[in-house]
Order: sequence, then structure tokens, then C-alpha cells
Amino acid sequence: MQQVDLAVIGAGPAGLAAAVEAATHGVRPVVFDENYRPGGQLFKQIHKFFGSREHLAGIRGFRIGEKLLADAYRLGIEVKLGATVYGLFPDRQLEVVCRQQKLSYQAQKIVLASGASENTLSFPGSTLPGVMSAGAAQTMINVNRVLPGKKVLMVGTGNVGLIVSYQLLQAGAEVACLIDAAHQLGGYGVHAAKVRRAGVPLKLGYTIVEAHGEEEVSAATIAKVDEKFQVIPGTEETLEVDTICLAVGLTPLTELAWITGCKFTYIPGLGGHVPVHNRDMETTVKGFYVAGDVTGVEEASTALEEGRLAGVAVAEALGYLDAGAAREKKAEIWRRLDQLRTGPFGSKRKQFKDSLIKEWSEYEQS
Amino acid sequence: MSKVRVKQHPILGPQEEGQWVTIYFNGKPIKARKGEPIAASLYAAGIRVFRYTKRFQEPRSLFCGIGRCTDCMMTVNDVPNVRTCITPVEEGMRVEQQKGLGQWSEKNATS
Amino acid sequence: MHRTAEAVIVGGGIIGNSIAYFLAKEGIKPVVVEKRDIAGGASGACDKAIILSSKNPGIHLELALKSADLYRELAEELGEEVEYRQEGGMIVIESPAEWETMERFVARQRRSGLNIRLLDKKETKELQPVLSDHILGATYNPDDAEVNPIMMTLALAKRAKQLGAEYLLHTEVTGVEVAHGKVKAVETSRGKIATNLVINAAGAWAPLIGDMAGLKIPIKPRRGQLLITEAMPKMIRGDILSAKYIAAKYNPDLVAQGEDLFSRLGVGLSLGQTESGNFIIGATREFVGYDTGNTPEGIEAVARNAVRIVPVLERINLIRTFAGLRPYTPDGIPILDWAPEVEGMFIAAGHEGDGIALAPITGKLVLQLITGQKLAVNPEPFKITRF
Repeated sequence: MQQVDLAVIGAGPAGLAAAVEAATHGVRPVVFDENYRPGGQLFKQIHKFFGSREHLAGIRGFRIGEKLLADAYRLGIEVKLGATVYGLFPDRQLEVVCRQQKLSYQAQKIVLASGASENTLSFPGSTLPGVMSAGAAQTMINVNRVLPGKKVLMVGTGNVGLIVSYQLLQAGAEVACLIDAAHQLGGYGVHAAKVRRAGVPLKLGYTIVEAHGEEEVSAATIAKVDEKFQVIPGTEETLEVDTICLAVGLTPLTELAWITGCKFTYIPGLGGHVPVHNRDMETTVKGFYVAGDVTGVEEASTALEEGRLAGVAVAEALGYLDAGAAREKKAEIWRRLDQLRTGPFGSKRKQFKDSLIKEWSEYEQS
Repeated sequence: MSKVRVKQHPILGPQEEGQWVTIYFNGKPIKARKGEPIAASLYAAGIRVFRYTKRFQEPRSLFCGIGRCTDCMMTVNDVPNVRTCITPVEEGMRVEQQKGLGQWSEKNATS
Repeated sequence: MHRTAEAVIVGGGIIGNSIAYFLAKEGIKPVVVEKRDIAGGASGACDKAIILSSKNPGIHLELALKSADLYRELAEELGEEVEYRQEGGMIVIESPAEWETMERFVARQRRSGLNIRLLDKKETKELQPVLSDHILGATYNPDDAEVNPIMMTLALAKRAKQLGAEYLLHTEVTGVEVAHGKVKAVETSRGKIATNLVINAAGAWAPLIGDMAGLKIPIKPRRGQLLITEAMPKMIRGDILSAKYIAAKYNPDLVAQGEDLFSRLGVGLSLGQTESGNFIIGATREFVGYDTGNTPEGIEAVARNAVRIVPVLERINLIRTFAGLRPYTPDGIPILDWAPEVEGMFIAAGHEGDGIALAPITGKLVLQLITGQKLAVNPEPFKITRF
């Protein structure tokens, strides 16, 4: 069994940021990711990020991914790809399967940054080839550079639905329309404006009724819904599309956190069950940290900051960073996180995230 | 090459030439970019039906794109249940549309 | 909440539910108290074998044979799909020493009425082509069967409920009230139930319930770790055990003395393929108290042992692991008996790894013992006083 300072699970923005931050102060991390490419979902994000300049605002996601990876390699961080962490055991033992080989590690600290997976939606025909998550379509166009179809219906007008629709257009696909059962827009107006300017209709208060096709999607029926989200008969219309993308939210990938027995709470606004943590991102299990979407679905920018926070906290806990320096660094990161969590969407998330920290304190005191 | 490959992109620019390999879908040769997931090669070749389910023989294809949902499983080099959305293509790979739980070849079964 | 019951059954596993079913069918309406959910303990964390081949000739095998007959009836009678199949079972032999032992074992089993025989290497391989070439042969019993233990437990519970049994799930027994040597009530996390009859079918937890009535029950939890693979096309028929499994089952001291990982964890192969195609691979036999966790070494030992016997498993992905606590008794035979000194307390536990196989006959026998009916088998070997 190999002994390591820090094991980071997930090589997306949160995990890489945690590893890079910790390594900057002298910690030797190993990063595991079950995928064969690092970067998590960063490399498919080709839009510019929001926030202040120190937040890398205006920089496109994949550029941030390239920089993080360059930093990781510069610092000599070991990134194990194709490596599935299948179990966490007492005393921070990790069991890993990497390309048919079994590996065992014992880590002083663990940062879990496993991210989130997209939700699905059931309707007649929803299993037909051509119906896919918006994220899958985004990977196809921006990473693999292959169009998933020629004409797309996007279900969901949150930021993922809006951004992926625009990126489908950029890649050369046609987007028939965007629909959302809610009667108001789910994501930012700026993103919606881009799609509208391209002439794509956004239909609010609409749901998908059925996907048609024998072997693959050839059409979709949508219809208006009332205030209780019930289909209004007679409003059905059929669109000729070959692809239906579902952008209906995400759920944190928390399996490994459950295994540790750390305390969870249920916050629908963060995607469901999430582990509670303190201001250092440490859960109720000592030495087990979380960062990014696994502890509440937000954005890549917040995931990066949470990763850094965990990285600083680990460096401090392992004695690589003195308390004063760590305090300063953490305060700086928290200031940036607070900035990111402003505005109509952000302030809600801040509320939820604050309640996670509050629940951690209550648990520790009980 | 097919029209579904995004060779020019307003943000990402032209696609690098890269290396090409040949894979076989149900025995038929297909050009694929080395290292891309099998699912991408198949989509680029206009193939979207990856498998048929065990009980109702319904078609399935790429769905989640991150290796979780198992909708995209196919039989690759005689091994069933390979998640094609995260498995990179390699020269000469034999990719079969999977029927039900797949075709477990005698060779594998007795090895 | 305060209620009264004709009988309180502690434990919602397959044993408790089988007893509930047989009692309810006879017009006795029990209340089943289960701290988790139906099949929430060992009955939901085991393999699917109803195997006769592994049973010691004598009362153990006699009980299993009677239970197997009942299974065929029950699978019909319950009117639910429980994935009951009779596809036979084999115990693979890996060494000449094992061959000798199994030869004697089989001869005795045949005398007890089991339709079992020895297969040579070629016959074995013909029946299960996936077996490794080092397998020398196997015992084969066409009457070995299998069932989905969770579906079976749920089906018994459903039927028992229809017949008037009541279920208190997620309800923990916190005490047993005894006055003047007689059971008076069961205290639970949801109130007291007045009753004159308590049936302790709590499996590995039976001694804890016994403690509440001042009773020592010689049952210990023995952990079995199992692995589940991805679904595969049908590659094996029925159940495959290894002769080492038999050794681990009946000679815990023998295997505990071994120095290697397999022996230390009591690993013996039990392999089956579910209706949906997943392999269930077992198992360890460990004394670790009430810990239901999987361990890296347990997972590894079970997997390596299975791959040794069925090499193709090396290429099949594991998707899940779990562990169940088997109620171990020193002689491997369950306790089905009235508690000495506490009138009204019946013990029906201690089936270790045979709970699924022996559930039907246990339910029937408990009914007969409680109501004083004619007995299906001689109850002497199941008495608690034998220890």
C-alpha cells in the first residue's frame, strides 16, 4: 500500500485546483480520475466565465483547464487517469482500479471532487437514440468535434440549456427551439439573449410530450402547460428534430462520500443530498474534504475556489503552511467566493452553502 | 469526411489534422480519429443505434456522455458492456452493436 | 401506541416472514417487528442458492430435503414471481485430498436420499465450460435450486399480510417484559405490545433479543462478504460451490489455522448468476462482531478465489459489494426451540448460511411446535439445551 500526503478524487476544476494549491505549498498529492482525459467538464466549456477579473472572468473554460493542467504538471503532481476509486475504507484507505490493475493507497488527507451528473427526464420515447443529456451533446461538439445531430430541441432553459444551445449553433447544428416547463427563464438573461439573437425561439411554459421515431428520434411533440405543469390539451405541436437534449439540472455524485459515513443534508437548491462541511471544506469525517459540485451544484468558477480552499486547508493541516499564512489565504478565497455568490442566483446559493456550514457546526457541537 | 465533423469552429478554430485509424462497426470499416471515444467515431459515421435492450429489444445510444448511464454499451473486441462514450478508439478495434447482454465469444468464455 | 398480539415475531428476514406466513395461514395473526425493512439484514445480503449438496448427511440434510420439497409448493402457492429455478448445483474439487473427502461425503449423502453424484473432469467441464482446467471434478446434484431471496422474503411477507399478519417496520425491539417466568410484552421504539408469545427470529441479532429476557443464546454473527458483477449473458448453470466452501462451513477451526488470506477469511466459492445476468460471488466467513462493512482484503480474496476457479471472471467488471451477518451456531444447525426458563419465548434462529434454503421448513416446524401439531421432523437436534 502506498502512503501519500493527499489523495484527490476527480481531476476536474475543483480537484485540480485543490491539488495545485496544496502542491504549491509542498504537499505531494496524487489525483485520480476515472476518465482518460483530465479537466472534468472544463474542456467542453468554451464560453467566457463571469465574475471579476481575478476570477478569470472573460477567460474561456478550456483555457482555464489548460492552465490548471500546466500548473499541475509543472508542480510534478501525479495525475492517474483511467483510475476508478471504487472504495474508501477506514483510516483514509483508497482502493483503486487503474487499467485492470488494483492499487491501494493510504492518504493523510482526501479531497473528494467527484462533481455531479445530469438529471434525466422520462417521457414516451425518452430512451430513443438521439435523446441525450445536454452535457453529452456539449462534449460531442466541443471536445470530440462531432455533431450529435442536425436539428436539436433543447429541453430546459437553465444556464446549461442556454449555453449548450448557443454552442450547438456555433458548431453548425440547427436548434429548433428551447422549451422550459417553468414560466420564467431558468438561466442568465445574457445567455438567453445570445440564443434569441440567433433567431431561436425560447418557449416558456412548454413541456415535451413525446419523442417520435422507430430506431432514432425523428420528431418531438411539445405542448403548453398550465400553472400546475399539466399539459393544456390542444396546444400540442410537433417539431421535426433528430436530437433532443435534456438540460434539467444536475445531482451531486456523492457515493464515495456516503461510504465514509460523513453527515449529509438535503438541499434541493444544491441538487439534493450533499455532505456538510466547514469553512475549510472538511466534512464531519476528519481528514475527508469535499470541493465543487459534489457538495452542491454551482459553477466551475466556484468549484475552482472551493478546491483551492481545500488545498490550503490540507497544506495547513499537514504543517506545510503556518496558521497565519493559511488564514490570510483562506480569507482571500472566501472573499472571492462571496463575490461569485451574489446576484439573484448567487445569493440563493450563498444561503444554501452557508446552511451547510451551519449544519456542520451544529453536528460538531452535538 | 462526413459533414458532422466540426472541422471549422468560430472559437476553437480549425481542427488539428490528428491521426486517423480504422475501426470496424459490425464488420464494416469506419475512419476514426485516434483517441476519440468510440461513440464519437460512430456518430461521425452516422451510426446512432449502439445496442438493443435485453427484454424489449429497444434501441439505445449515447445518453450521459460521462460513463455513468451505461446506455452506450457495446461489444468491443469480443468484450460486452464496454462504455463507448468514454473508451478511446484504437486501430483495428472491432465494435459490435450489442444485443441484450451481448455476445460473449467462446474464446473469452473458455480462456 | 399500546396493542396486544397473539404472537410477536422479532425479525423481518426470511425466517421471520416464513413463520409469519405459516402462522397466519393457520389463523394465528402475528405482529412482525423489524428494526429495518423486510429482508434488511442477512436475507437481503446473501446469495440465491437453495443447495442440498453442501448439507451434512443426517438431520441437516433431512431438514434441507424437506425444505426443498416445500419450496416447490411455495413457489406456486405464493403466486408471486420469486425467480425459483431448479438448475442443479455443483461443488468443484481442486485436489486429490478434496476428492477423497467429497467421495465419502457424497456416499453418505446418497444414503440419506440425495440424488447426488461425482463427475469426472470431462463431465464437469461439459456442464460448466467456464471452469478452470485445474478443476479435477465435481459433485453434482440436479435437485439443487435457486431463488431470489429478497423477492422470496417479500412474497412471504405480502401473503402473510393478506392473511392478517401485521408489520411494524423500522421499529426496534428495546425490551422483553417477563413476569414470573412468563413473557408479558415486547417493548419497541414505537410502544409496547402485550403478548404471551414472542418468536425470536432475529438471526444474528437473536442473542441480543435473548439478553433482554435474560437468556443466553449461543449464536454469533459471522460476516459473509459478496461481490456482484455487471450483467452478462448466461454463462453458468445453477450454483457452483468449491469443496473449500464445505471445509469453511463445517470446520471453522481448520480454516482459521491456515496462514494464507483465503483461510484466514474463511473464503470458499459460491457462485451463481441471477435472472438479470449478474454474477453473485461469495464469500468470506469471518467473526468480526456486528460489522457489516466490506474490507479491501475481503473483496480481493473473494475475487481472486473466484477467478482462480472461473478464470473468465477476470474480464468481467465488479459493480457492487456487500456483506451480510450469518447467524452462526457451534454445530451449524439452527435453534428451533422454546426458551428454557422463559415461558412464551420461542427461538427460531441460527441458520448461518442456510437461512434461505431452510426458511420454508422452519416456518412449518415452528408452527407445529407452537401449536402442538404432529411434527415434520424430530425436533431434538434443534434444542437449545444441546449446547
